[in-house]
Amino acid sequence: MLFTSPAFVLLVLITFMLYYLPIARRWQVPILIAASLFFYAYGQADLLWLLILSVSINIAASYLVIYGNPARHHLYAVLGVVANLLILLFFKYGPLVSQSFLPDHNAFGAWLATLPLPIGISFFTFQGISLVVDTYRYRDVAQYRSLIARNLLKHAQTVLFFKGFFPQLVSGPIVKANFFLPQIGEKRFADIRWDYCFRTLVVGYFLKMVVADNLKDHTLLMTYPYFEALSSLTLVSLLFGYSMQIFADFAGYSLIAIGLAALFGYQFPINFNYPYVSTSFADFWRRWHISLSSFLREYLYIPLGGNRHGQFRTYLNLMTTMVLGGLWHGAAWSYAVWGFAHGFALALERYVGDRVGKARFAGFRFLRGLIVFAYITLAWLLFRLPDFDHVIAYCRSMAQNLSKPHDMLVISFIGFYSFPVLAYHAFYLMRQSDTSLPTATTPSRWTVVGYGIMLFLLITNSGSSGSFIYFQF
Amino acid sequence: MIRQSLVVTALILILYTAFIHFYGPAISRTAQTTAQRNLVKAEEYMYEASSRYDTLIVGSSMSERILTDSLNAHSYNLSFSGLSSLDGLYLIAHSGHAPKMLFVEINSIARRDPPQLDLTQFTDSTQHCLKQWLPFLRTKYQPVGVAKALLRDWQHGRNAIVIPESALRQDTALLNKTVTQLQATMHVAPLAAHMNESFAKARTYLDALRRQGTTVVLFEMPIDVRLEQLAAPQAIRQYAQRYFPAPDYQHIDLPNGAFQTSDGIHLLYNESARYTRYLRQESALLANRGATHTAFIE
Repeated sequence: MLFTSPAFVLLVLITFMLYYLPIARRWQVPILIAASLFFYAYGQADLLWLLILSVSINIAASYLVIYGNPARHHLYAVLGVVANLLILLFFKYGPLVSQSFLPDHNAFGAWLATLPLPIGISFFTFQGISLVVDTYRYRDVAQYRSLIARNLLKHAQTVLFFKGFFPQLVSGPIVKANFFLPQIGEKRFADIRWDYCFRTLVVGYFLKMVVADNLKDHTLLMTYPYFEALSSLTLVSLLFGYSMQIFADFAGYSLIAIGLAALFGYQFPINFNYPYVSTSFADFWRRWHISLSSFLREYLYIPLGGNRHGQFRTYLNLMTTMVLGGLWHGAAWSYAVWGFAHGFALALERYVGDRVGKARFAGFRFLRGLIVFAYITLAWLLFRLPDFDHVIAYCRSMAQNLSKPHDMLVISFIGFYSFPVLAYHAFYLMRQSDTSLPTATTPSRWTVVGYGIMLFLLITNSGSSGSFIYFQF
Repeated sequence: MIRQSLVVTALILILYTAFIHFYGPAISRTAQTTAQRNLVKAEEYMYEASSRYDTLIVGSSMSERILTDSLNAHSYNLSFSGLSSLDGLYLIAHSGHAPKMLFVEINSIARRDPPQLDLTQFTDSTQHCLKQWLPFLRTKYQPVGVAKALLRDWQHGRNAIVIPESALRQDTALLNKTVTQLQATMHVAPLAAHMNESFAKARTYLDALRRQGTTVVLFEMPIDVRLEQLAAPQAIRQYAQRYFPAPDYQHIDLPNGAFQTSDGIHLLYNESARYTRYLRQESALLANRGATHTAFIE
């Protein structure tokens, strides 16, 4: 069920009305759980059992870590994490293992290749790991312990809600247990931050439906071998457009999820913080898919040793984290290469930064920002063209097709639909450089007109609806 | 803030509706992409054109290349990129209007690709009603597409045809690559079960139209000569003859001589004009033959 579909809007409306009914106040969490299960089953009813299984594993592991035999707390936590990872490995990477390592006519391999990819498995598995690890880490902290109810049924309800809450169930943001569990409680209609919800939802839907969905139809031209007939400038524009599309698609989705959660009184962490203004790769990863990068830092990079064991280990840990982070995005080697490219850039940047120091000139920072953006955009090719040969062919065509005629219409459309993303980032930079104190508490006339225009374009100029790119992960 | 923004949106919508009301009929070819072209075409047919045209063409992106205006003054091309003739037939069946003459492309009848456009939205009565009364909801009137069309008309003139570069020239390297790809898929005939299912479905639609007086003409779009005699196109021709036997159904065979394509299956612009001429001549011959046949019976 897409966030942009009428069925979803109807589900949210019905859930919202039931949720805030005074007589149903005690049942708020069960209402959201029911809506979430319906949401998941609507798209993949035959795999609902897997979500339930995954939740059950995390209910048991987190409960035993708190209330089980203290001598076995570590064992329960390890078993919980391993079980989560096994489910992810089996369903997500089974087909890749089959294609890469098993002979063509192997019956087991053929069976593995037919495994369906459960929607949102990467997201709900990571949330499960976060629950088990956080529970183990903070098992002696009274405040955290109080979040794990003694009553197993009540605990099961909490975990099912934490993992299954529909705004973040299939594409995040990945919410950590220590962030979400304390928020669970009775919510009041009067406490809804309407302005915040409105702004978040309008910008989110605008980025998804007007920007990303329209760019999607243009970047379809990046299909092998058809792109080989296009000019270098057209190919560069398409790649630029894809970079804008992937941001608008995922940032739009995250904003919608944040806005929806806020309607039900819950707060999700921000997932994107104007990533294309980054002037370094480390900065980019502090701004892009923040919930994933902070998860990887907290639950993988730091446990691996982080930067505490010398330079070589630091670089190795960086590369390992990024390659695994790349593979998290999809079961194809191209995603590992994408992760490697980012890991390499991070390691190189660290190496150079350690020796040269940080540049303070604005011009140099700007140039560095351009290089970072160009590199990141080029790396997105691995997302658009999972076949590595096609990536090479695209780069070759960009370099060789200088004399071919440009498709000015496509270039103009890409420029037009990319403009809101550029303006979004430019607006942030302007606010950064504005040192004057805000004088008005009410929104300016331009803000109102801006939201009015966004709503108008949402109604009249949305692209053909398509899945969110991150649904496949 | 929320109320003020909604008021701004409502004001712009009212102004835009007025603009469409006064200038809408003069605005055409507003689609920005292939996917939108499909949507605009389906909307235009269902909401405006179904009763206006007496000759229709159904098919895929191959038949989209036919120069409809040169075929017949009252013809409408209901061919969809990425879809098949069955999709056009579905819309005709739901429009409630049977054309006098219907050209059906056979190349794509058995196409099994996942549908890229949900056509049921055009037959949904709520959507139909909404888009009739609120034209700004239609893809045809997307502001960016309208701006593009106005700019193009201002630059080239309202009736000028702007032909994309890719339809004018042949990129031999690309052509050879796509033909090799297509040879790999087209050297195997589609599964008999799939063929039977698709052709039976087409026959149900066409039988119903014939009963309402439509003359059905089946035709095959020319493709690259290296592909023409492969197993898949041969099988399609056999099924077309079996399911739609003459004289109940009329057939226009492939013309003699090779046609040039941009990618193996889509004709270049000049070749489209050549094929359209051929189609016009052949349909005129069929019409004469039909008239003689009727006179003979009488």
